[in-house]
Amino acid sequence: MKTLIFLLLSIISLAVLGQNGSEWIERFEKQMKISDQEVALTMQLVSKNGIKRERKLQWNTMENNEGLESSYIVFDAPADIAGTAFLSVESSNNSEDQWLYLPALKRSRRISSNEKSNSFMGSDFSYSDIGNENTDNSSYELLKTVNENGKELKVIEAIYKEQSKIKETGYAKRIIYIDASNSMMVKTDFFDTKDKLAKQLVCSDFKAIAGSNKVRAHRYEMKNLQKGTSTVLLFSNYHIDKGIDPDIFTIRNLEKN
Amino acid sequence: MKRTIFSILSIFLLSAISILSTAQEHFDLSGKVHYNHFSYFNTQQNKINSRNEGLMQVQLASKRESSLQWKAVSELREDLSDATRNRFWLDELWAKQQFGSFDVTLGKQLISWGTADGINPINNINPTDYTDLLDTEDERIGVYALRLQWFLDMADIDLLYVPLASFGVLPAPNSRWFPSPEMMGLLTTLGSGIPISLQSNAPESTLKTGEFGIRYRKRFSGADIGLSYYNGYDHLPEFTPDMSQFDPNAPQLVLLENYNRQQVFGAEWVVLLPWGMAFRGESGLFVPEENNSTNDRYIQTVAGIDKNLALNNSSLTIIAQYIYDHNLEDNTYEKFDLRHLFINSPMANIDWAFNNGLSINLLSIYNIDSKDYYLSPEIGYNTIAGLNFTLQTDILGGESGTFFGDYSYNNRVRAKMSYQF
Repeated sequence: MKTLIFLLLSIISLAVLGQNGSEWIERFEKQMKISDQEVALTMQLVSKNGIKRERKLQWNTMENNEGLESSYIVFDAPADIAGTAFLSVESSNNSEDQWLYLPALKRSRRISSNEKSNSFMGSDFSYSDIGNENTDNSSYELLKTVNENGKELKVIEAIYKEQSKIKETGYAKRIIYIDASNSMMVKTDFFDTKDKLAKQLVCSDFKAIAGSNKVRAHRYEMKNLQKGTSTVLLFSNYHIDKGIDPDIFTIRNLEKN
Repeated sequence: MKRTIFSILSIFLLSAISILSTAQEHFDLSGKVHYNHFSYFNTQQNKINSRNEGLMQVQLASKRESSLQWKAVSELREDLSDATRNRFWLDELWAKQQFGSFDVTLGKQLISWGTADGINPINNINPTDYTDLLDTEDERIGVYALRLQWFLDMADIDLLYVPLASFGVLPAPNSRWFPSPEMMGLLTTLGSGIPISLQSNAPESTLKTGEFGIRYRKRFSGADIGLSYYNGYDHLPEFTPDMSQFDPNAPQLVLLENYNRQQVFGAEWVVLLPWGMAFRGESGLFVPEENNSTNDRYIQTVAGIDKNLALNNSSLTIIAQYIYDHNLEDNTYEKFDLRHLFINSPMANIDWAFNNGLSINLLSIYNIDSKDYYLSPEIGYNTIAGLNFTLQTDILGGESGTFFGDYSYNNRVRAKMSYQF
């Protein structure tokens, strides 16, 4: 009888922990939810030999009333790609229209939207790594709570519900660490389809963003453990929910120069 | 004397860059410096068998966020062996102001119409510098134009007026790229060794010779389409020998460069396909004016499929295109006619760029009917400091009497060092 009660309690507590997994992810998503954002980004690509190459860009995003996202990216450095700009407009049929402006050609070029597992601008981040978490696509289970560097971290296992998503992203599962104090993700381990640890993301330098109730990591480091390379994203000059001009996300602006 | 002038101009430009770079909060200063070395595999008497060329381009532009946009781009090019390549000119000098949904641009401009890669039948506004036919840098020449763009929700209309027509720059008669009279279909009883001189017969640039064009683009989910119309000059001349200037005591063939007026009706498209591919292309119907010396009516179409693979630590782009020239008048095209180099021709370009700065590129074109070809493999390396080194070969081949076959003595290697700031 005692064993039965113990088993029942274990099942109930596991179920509660599982539910808490989704709740923590939802809290994280609430923190990340914005209507518009303007930020400067320095991307450092670090090779296996430790050689560092740097790219600088301005990144604007906006979400419209229907929840559809638009992005506009323009490169400032290095000089050989300065002025190259990228426009992505999400449409209601769950697809993205994307154009690239190449200053040398003085023309914009419609491009196919990248597959989610493709590398984001040649970095160790994939397009799915930088996209928003869609809580409908995965099941989340709170595995445990740990203390690291004085922070209480919720350790959550995220598994895609459908095989197609696993194929699309290239991940069998992710282990997400959420800081209980601010609901921000501080670390994620990415496991490939063979369930081997493939990449590790560490987010740091958290700061409150002036004029908003948001907190943002200003440093993201993604290590590709299988290839030995890494990418560091350094964010600065965050402007969140300032009411960005929607004309930024147009062909007119893309072809401005 | 010319060398001194170029040296002074170089010093002037460098000083200007140095002064302007201190005031960059008001505008953006950028540019590039190139040094090119060309060596031809086949040496020829009285021809330039290797040459060294320097190029400096300086660009001043308004900040992206300013409401009045402007840009000034000047270019200085000096070739140590071939003085006909030397130039110092303004590539661009324009100002653009927004008025609601309209943009008005005035000044010297480079206009890019079309969606195909490399060859654009509907892009006819700017003339081109043809002094080196294989020079892959943007060799188009800016034109003074008034441009009005009207931006609608998912469409735009582009209106252009070029009040004073200007024309392309051709290879000098002693250039490796200047065709023999036989190549131009001018085989005369005078013999092929006869000296040739060119004489421009371009119409005087007045408001009557103005050119204009209109382009409409519409964007859909997963596709872009466009229609265009151009009414202006074919910036490539048609050569006719002027026998009235022939002197039997000092034989020389004088070729008149005649420029014909034409209309080009264009269509362009991009359609996204499954598996991350895109089908893009454009087609131009070329209609010469009735009073032209020839009736070269044709349709040129460039269409193909491309795919970009954003791999971890590298990016691979593959472009496969087909160029088709449909002759509507059963004209016989001369081999050197640059309008009709590609009649029935597949073209492929593979570009693989790695994060460590290495890049590999292969461009190839094959003329199915005449069986001649052009191949250009290239390897490049970008240093962290921003220096770029490129080694490229141009391989032309085919039977005698074909364009690339006849130019196969121009096979060459090119080494380039460049720096962008």
